[in-house]
Amino acid sequence: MHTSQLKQYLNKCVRCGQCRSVCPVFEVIKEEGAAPRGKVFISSMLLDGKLSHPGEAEHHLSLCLQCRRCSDQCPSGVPVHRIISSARTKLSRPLKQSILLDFILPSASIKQKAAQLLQTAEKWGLTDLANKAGMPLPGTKKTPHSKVSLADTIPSGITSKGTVAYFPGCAATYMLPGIAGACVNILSNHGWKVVIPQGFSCCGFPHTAAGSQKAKELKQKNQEIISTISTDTILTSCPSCNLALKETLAGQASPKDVVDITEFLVENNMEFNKTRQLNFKIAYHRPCHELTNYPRRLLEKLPGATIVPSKLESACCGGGGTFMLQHPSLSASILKPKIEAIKETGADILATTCPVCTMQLMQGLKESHVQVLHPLELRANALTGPPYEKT
Amino acid sequence: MASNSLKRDLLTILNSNQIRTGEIDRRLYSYDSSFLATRNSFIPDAVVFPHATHEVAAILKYASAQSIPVVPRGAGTGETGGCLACRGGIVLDLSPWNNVDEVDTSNMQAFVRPGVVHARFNRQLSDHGLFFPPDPGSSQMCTLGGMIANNSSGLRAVKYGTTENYVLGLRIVLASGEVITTGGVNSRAIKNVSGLNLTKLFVGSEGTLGVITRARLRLWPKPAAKGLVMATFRRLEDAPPVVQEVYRAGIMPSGVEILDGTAIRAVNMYRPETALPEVEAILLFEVDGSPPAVEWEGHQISNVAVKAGGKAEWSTDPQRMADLWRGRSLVAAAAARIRPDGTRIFAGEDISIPLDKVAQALREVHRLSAHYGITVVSFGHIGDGNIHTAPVIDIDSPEEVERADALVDAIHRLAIELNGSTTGEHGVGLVRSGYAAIEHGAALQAMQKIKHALDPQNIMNPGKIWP
Repeated sequence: MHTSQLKQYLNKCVRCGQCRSVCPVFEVIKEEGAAPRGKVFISSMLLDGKLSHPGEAEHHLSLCLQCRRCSDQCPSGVPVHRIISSARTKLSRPLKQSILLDFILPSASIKQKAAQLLQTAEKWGLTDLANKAGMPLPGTKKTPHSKVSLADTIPSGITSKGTVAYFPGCAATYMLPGIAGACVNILSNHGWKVVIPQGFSCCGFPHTAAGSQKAKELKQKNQEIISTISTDTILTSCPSCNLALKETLAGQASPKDVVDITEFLVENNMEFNKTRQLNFKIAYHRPCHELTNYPRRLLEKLPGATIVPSKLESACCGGGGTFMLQHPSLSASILKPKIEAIKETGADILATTCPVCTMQLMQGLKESHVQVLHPLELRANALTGPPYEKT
Repeated sequence: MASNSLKRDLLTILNSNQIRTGEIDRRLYSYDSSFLATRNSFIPDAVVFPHATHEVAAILKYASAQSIPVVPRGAGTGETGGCLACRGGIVLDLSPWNNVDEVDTSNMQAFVRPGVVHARFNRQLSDHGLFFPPDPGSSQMCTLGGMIANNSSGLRAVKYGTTENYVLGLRIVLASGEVITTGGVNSRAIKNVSGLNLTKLFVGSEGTLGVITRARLRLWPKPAAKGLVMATFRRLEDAPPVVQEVYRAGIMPSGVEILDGTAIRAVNMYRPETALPEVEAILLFEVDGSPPAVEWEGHQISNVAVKAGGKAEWSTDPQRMADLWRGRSLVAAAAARIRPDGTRIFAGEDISIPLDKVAQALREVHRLSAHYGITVVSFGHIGDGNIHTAPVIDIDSPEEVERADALVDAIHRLAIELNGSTTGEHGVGLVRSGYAAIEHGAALQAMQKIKHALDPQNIMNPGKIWP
């Protein structure tokens, strides 16, 4: 953010404290330093060079999930999350976060290897060990679709409707391939040829949130690749990728529509005549970056499924990208009431669209029978997958 | 006081995780929502988080012995500098102490700790069909302790009164560390006239007489129905008499709000889709009670407004009521955004005017706004004459800030000249302490004598209410 713009936003904050009522971190740490307005205040002091020990601001500024609730609620229109990101650029990052942001996420080959490593770690039971050591591994997920190849061909007998581009993002490509598989499966069964352009980079959301300069580089790379795509629409399955791509393409000469696949399916009335009944109770977790109601609407269309309301459906799970790595204990405290509310619903399946939330919620629900799946995985399963078994 | 020795002493009373003395932590408690706090830094020597009456008592006993100022603080949403350590000392952040000890539904009362957030309290009471009527605009974040200390209220004060009407008793730690319970030591009675009314003395005392660690609050049954009338007037002068005419018709609405032309334009600029009629005044009347009474009152108010030359719309449909309220709920945000390089400042924002002089006050505020060349958005609780004025300025311009200071002083003096008060519900704190002498005359000395009797060392929130 340009300095003059930043200054204008900082001036707009009148410290009314409205943000105290919505911040998931403040809900646990009830101190001014954890409140969004406190973090804006620290950002202001840091940027004005008023702190005698600027490094001490690092801890406070790390206490932000980038959920954007404060920005959405601010009566003065202060983009709190952007101010915090800008302030973070002034600080050195913890080693764990730097390795992930600067080394792993920008490189496809390293991500591939990291994913294999995690699968091996899980196989050898190392996830529990890592959790105990304060380095929780997000874990991988075995779903009925995890082995679906990303075939871009339309099954025989289905009329072609055209071609769409799909941006799967890091998680659906490497960690939770069942999501990407489900997307391609559903779209191709509707007659859409799916193109996943080579060379897509990380969407840059985690980098922007952390104030990493790498964000600009990643966005530029994606802009270049997107400029070569002939389709007008780019589909996403992750709400954070969706937000980041929209921001990446804003102001471009010929912007393309970035649309969540659930919206694409619901708005185009894409329903199947023959699908299997999913006789499950499904609870929904609405990720912080999920701005529409389409994923829930898609769930409501699942044949046979009962959607059970959860008291804290829209509450943050405490994942927050690298937040759960930086603050595992705090992250778990934010997650706890959410997990209790999910268990109260008696649901068999928890559906959610965000891969980070998925990994966080899987951690929270690992001792329970509840499976965590993307609505698209459920949709695809009703269409072609083997029957789920209750665990 | 050297922070190391202060910290060492506090560690004899509290655990280390209840004490903050680092630079950033102390600076984080140097502000509230007042414009004064954006220009000045009131940094305490320590911030502590007590969670028991005996902890507060020990802190105050120590502070009295050492003559260290003690400043109680809730959510820090005040607009007056009331919770700022203007003379250094120890800030007590009471907001994490947020237990509702008991809801006594049979006796229509609740026992709460100071940090309970108002909106959460009312959500909890809703399960019992009860509510705590005072309703400040900061409901989502302000604490009950802060509300009691400032005698807060909001748009429904017109019918339900202010916080003081709902405080049955308080547990107070005095400056000496002595603990008292007002309103009867073990009382659960609603009415009680035995002894001096110390409860009322502490309500609104802004932390200058002691620290509230527990409150016994009166609850009311939730009304069964609500309705809303929106009335629009081409001329500002036509609106205020309608409010009095409604009272004469035997109706006491649960809320009577006004948006003047500046507020209407601000909302329409901020959210054009709101499409408020471009008139000089909009009045919103909320009525509540039994369904037939609500229906009757709504129609009566509409008739009164139309007879006075206005247009009126009446609804009991929740969605439509929400639409009609939208202009009022957006006005604060709109004021903040009316000028891209401007900041809505909280200063001179809470005047209280006699009902028959509200129109005159609004006109005068317009005149002052033009005179000083500063945009002022006006809105508020016309039902009880409590008007909020929101100056919007470039806070980086010293010259504009100087003009704003003069404007704010003129607004405060205007309120006093019109037989009103500089503050209706936000309090005095630091920002209005300079008007204490002219507002209270000889009564100010009586207040100071009471203060001296209870806090001879003047450690409790010094510098507030009067200079």
